[in-house]
Amino acid sequence: MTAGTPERPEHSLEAYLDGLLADSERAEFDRRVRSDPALRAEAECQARIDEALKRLYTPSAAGAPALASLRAASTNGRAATTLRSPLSAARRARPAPALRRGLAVAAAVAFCSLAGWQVWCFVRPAAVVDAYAAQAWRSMDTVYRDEVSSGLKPSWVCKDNEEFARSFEKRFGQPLYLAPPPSGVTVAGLSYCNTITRRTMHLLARVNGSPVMVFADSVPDDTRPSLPPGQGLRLFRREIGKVVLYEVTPLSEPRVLDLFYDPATRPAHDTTWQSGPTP
Amino acid sequence: MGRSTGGTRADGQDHPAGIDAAEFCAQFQASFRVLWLIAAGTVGEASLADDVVQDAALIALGKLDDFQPGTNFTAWMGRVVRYVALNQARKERKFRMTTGDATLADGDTPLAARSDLRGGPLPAGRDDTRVFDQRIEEALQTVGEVARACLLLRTVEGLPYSDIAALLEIPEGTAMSHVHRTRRYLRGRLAVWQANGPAAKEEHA
Repeated sequence: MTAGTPERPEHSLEAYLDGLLADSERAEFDRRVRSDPALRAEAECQARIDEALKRLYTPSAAGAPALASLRAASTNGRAATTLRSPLSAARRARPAPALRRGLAVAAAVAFCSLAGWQVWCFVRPAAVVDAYAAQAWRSMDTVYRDEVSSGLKPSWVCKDNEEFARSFEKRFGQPLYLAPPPSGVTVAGLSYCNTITRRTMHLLARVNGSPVMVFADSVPDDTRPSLPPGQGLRLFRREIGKVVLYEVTPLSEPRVLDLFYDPATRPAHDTTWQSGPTP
Repeated sequence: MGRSTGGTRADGQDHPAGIDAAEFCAQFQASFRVLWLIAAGTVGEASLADDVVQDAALIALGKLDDFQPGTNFTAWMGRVVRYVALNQARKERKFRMTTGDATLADGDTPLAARSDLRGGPLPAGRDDTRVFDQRIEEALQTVGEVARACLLLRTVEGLPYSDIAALLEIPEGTAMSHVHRTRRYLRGRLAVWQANGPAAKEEHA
């Protein structure tokens, strides 16, 4: 394939599926998708392909032992060849000389780092790895379905609004408060997902019993996601300072987005709702 | 402690050590999914990606001083992964040629329609998911490694094009073009499969 600029993505189905269209263009394309069966079939076909790709190309559980083995090899100098999986061993009964030299060097380096590593472990706490960074990417509608099927159980329930604001400030550099929910709206708590980016946070709520979720991420990292048609869900977008919020709801209008506010600007709300794909 | 002392390089200037083993392990773990997808995309088979990433990690462990602090660890590690994956892909091709298995082919003509399309209506039910996945996998093996890696990083990991471009050392527009063209190509392949029907499947089987 040759290098070059993309072919007029602003008008293509690819740009639509890729979330690259501006809001007005996306709304126009939504209408086209709804009215054009062939276009809708293309969009649905692509959705199936994307789901297949996620099934086929997700690191298996076997990846975890590899990491553990790598850590072990880097700390105790264990022969690097012990990292070989049975598949690898069967395919390559004998590593190439260059690779063997590399493995020997790696083992030697790992062995030499043992003393330093041991001291390091004493003087420094273990590296904290973001538990959510390893999550597989999921689309908003997938996260929505997953959360609904698991009963809207949040990963974190903030004890007060200050803690809620700190969660946003720590993650996105922008504190956000939540106004007291009106009658019929109940907020369950916060969870985390790899959706807009790996740092996406989402609020779980119910509006008159219907599950509603608000996904939050940094404005500069916004990928302008969209929902596939025919899911019975609507997407509403709002920006508050450095944070972009997306409400995924089966209802015809956003009911939770308006509850978020920046403490510096309260009570003024920017209510420039932008509608996404409709059922 | 834990960081090596660095040294003098060919340019005669002293450089601080790149990264220590502990930091490497932490960053490797955080980057593992992306590295795995680069490996899977480059080598073309998910089943080989674990080995490729492991090999790359072992090589990188021997070159920790080459890493420049402050630069993108995943991009640095991704370069090692691509190097190992390309070598692995070459070995696989040789292996398949000597054993008569030539299913992996055509890597340099990524979007060329092939005449040996096997067919059958697209499966609709969940029971046929495996067949559908198999067709996608087959079609992807006829796509170039860079295009495949771009597609996986965008679709599976949802990376922005700027990140994909940095990881694969290609222009951002090229990364986007690879993704869009490959998606279109895959839909085209599925449409041909569907149009050919069961008879075509039997004929080519």
